[in-house]
Amino acid sequence: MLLLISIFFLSSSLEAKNIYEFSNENLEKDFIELSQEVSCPLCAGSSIAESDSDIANDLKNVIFKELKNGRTPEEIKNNLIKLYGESILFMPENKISIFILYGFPLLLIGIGIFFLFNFLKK
Amino acid sequence: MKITKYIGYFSLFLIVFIFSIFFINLFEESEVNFPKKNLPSGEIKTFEGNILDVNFLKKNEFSLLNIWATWCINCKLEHGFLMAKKTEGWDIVGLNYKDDLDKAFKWLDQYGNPYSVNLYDQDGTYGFSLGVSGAPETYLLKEDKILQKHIGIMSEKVWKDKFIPLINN
Amino acid sequence: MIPEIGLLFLVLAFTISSFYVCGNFFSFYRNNNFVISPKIVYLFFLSVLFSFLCLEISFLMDDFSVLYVANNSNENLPDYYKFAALWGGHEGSMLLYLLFLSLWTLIYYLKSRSGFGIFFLFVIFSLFSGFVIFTSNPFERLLPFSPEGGLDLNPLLQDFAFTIHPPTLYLGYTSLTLPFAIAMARCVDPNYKNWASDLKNWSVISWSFLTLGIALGSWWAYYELGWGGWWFWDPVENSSLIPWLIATALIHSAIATSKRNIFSKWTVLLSLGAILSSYIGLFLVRSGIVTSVHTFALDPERGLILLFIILFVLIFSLIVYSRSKLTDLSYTYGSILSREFFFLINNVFLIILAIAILFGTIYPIIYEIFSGGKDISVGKPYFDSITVPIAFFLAFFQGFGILSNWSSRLTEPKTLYVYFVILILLTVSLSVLFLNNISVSITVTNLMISGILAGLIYYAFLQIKNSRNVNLSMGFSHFGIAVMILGIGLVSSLESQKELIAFKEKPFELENYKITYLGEEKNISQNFSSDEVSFRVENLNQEFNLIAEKRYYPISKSIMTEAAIYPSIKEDLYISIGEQVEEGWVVKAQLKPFVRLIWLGALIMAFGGFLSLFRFKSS
Repeated sequence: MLLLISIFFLSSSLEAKNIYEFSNENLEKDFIELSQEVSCPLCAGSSIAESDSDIANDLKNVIFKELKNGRTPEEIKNNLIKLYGESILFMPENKISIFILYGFPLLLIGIGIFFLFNFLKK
Repeated sequence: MKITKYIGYFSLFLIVFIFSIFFINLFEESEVNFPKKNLPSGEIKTFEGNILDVNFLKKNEFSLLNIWATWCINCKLEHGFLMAKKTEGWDIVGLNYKDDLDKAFKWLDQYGNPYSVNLYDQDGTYGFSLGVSGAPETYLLKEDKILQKHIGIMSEKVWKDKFIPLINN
Repeated sequence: MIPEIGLLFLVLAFTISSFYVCGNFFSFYRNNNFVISPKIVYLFFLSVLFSFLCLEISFLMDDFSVLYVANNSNENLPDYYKFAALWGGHEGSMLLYLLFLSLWTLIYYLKSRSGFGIFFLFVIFSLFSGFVIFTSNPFERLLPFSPEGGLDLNPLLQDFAFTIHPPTLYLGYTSLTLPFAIAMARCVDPNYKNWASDLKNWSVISWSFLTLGIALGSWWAYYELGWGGWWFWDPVENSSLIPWLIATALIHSAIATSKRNIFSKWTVLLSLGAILSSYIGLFLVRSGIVTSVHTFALDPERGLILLFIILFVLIFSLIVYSRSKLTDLSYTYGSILSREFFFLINNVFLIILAIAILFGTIYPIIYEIFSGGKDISVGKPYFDSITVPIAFFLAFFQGFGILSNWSSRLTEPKTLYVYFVILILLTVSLSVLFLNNISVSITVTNLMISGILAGLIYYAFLQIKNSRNVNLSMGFSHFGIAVMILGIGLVSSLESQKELIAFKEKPFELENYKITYLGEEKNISQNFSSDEVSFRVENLNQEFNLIAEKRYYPISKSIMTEAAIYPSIKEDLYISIGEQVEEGWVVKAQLKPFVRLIWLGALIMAFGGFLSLFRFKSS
């Protein structure tokens, strides 16, 4: 599910100020991606991109500043993990968890398909 | 069909597994395995307007750092506990988080001041470096380390389950 | 006095149900059909009702000497919120749950043909009412300290949807006990004829209420939370989705059992699975082992007792099941094109999805135990990536499944070919409609709804052509799913937003809307004050004003964002305000195309479900 975020730069005929202005598009892309990967600690499963709460805005500001200062998304994520624990991210970073999380449904599907085939054998 | 039998056993195993997880989790309410962190450096203002370096929080004895605010209703509910701990002789430092200083003063006047020092983190900058996400939160400190963190209302139960085990070690 | 009377009534109901269970336990063993006098059942229901009313009276009269009322209400609340505040916390919502349990018990008693069913319903009621009376008493008093005012109902809950979402959802959860009781009754009494069609009818009722309840929750989160999201994969949301998925599988299994006398073991086990998954949900929400904005944080002791109750129900049911003799007609596993097989595919994948979602929801707990206390989250990326593929296949099989015949009358391969032709035609025509916005997710959505619609269209055609009845209930329910999928697909692929600082009288653009911040007004209401920020919105054909609010609740000291929504089927314009800065406001404006279809789809689904009770047929 792609969230199309159209954040335009200042257009000459309209005057509203952008909250987060980036000097280049890659940084902006990183910002958008990061905001969607970081969960808002006190919200019902929303990312900081979606949420408007205080802590979500604080986190967005921090990510904005750090991206501007040249830190990579990896570094920013690790820093956030140090502050808030791994639960700040929507997906666990460690490989074992990812393996189990996706492996288990795949196992279930395998069992299901096997069961269905068995059912067809007379 | 044979496979139905195996699926039956597998489902039973899953159910047993899920219930065990729930049981273990309920029994193991203690988060004694909080990863120890260093107290982040920085400077904070006090209520009187002085600027202190965070180093003053590093003490040889255990102390508590309590994050609170007048806008936080749950803070009212843990206030009695904090006052009791103060009477027992515990050192509690208060960090007033993203609040109005006048209101904070009035609050302490009205309800009582359990804090040995009152810090004022108006925009939450120091709180952020700590990893604060709201109020109330309480940290257990010793020397330059954060040994435990509790998000939510402090109570005797939380104290017994999460803080005492670390203090006794 | 009134709270004490309320507790007394509850104890009376508990006594009636538990005495009945204990007294009849041995007749139950000897498989005698036991009778119960209607007067007792009415007395039972009225006791619970009066208990509930006593608590309501305490709320409406601002009796803050009752601890639960003090914690969840306030004298400044408007009356209708005081009424709803009863289910704002754990103890009161359990009482609502008990009220509905007793209501369904009464209704089942009046319509049923099996005395055993009542036995099992009373077992469930005794367990949960015992839990409430002994650990979660809503009538507990604060005396001798009676506070002057209450704490206040959480501002998030001071909203219309809060008055209908929990009750609707609870009607769904509690009615799941009925298929369970019927299944157990059949296990004990092989002479319970028509158990499957009874079970099917009650499953459909539950499912319809659950559909409505979940949709209401989603709609509410959308306009109330102020962020524009409509599903968050929050543990509590998942706790409602899992029983819903299993109830869907249950309906199909029950249809097969009642029509063709097969899958009866599946039907029984799914009935058990449905009620159990709803209890696991109950446990997750109330035990405090997962954190969420929805949870009632209980102490672990109460969570443990609840877990024991659930375990008891599980073991008890499995024992009853294992001692039962369920004989099916032998099923000829003939053609892959039989409706039986499609139902099987449907159920297998629904169950897999339910288990996978449950797994993702409790994985953080599992990880915490095995990693020695580390916290992680499992969120949207995981749940989206497992739901979408499975839903995709389900949509596909749905379409053809609707067309397939029971194996007594085999489905012709020709039907399959025509189906695919219609499917392709539909897909292509829909692609043309969305030519400007073609993308992977649009195409996926397109395929899914074409799959379902092709099946429905061809099904209707065939039925009419052969002068057979068109099953409107099934038609609407499946059509509703297609509408919902369309809404989800479109809004996810096409939504857009802009987040910026808006200055007075300086417009900004979002797609073809021009939005101007005009000014704000301060307002004071019964228990909150607010900043009402107005916007002028202009687009090609229209011009209108919208007001977004920031509300401040003095008692709980919380701040709420009320978004300004300009709704229409085609799209919602959604404006929410952040904080006031300098001479402007932080504003987030979003366009949500076709988001209303999501809830419209759910309404249609529930409508289809309720329709089946009237047995409408059209020829």
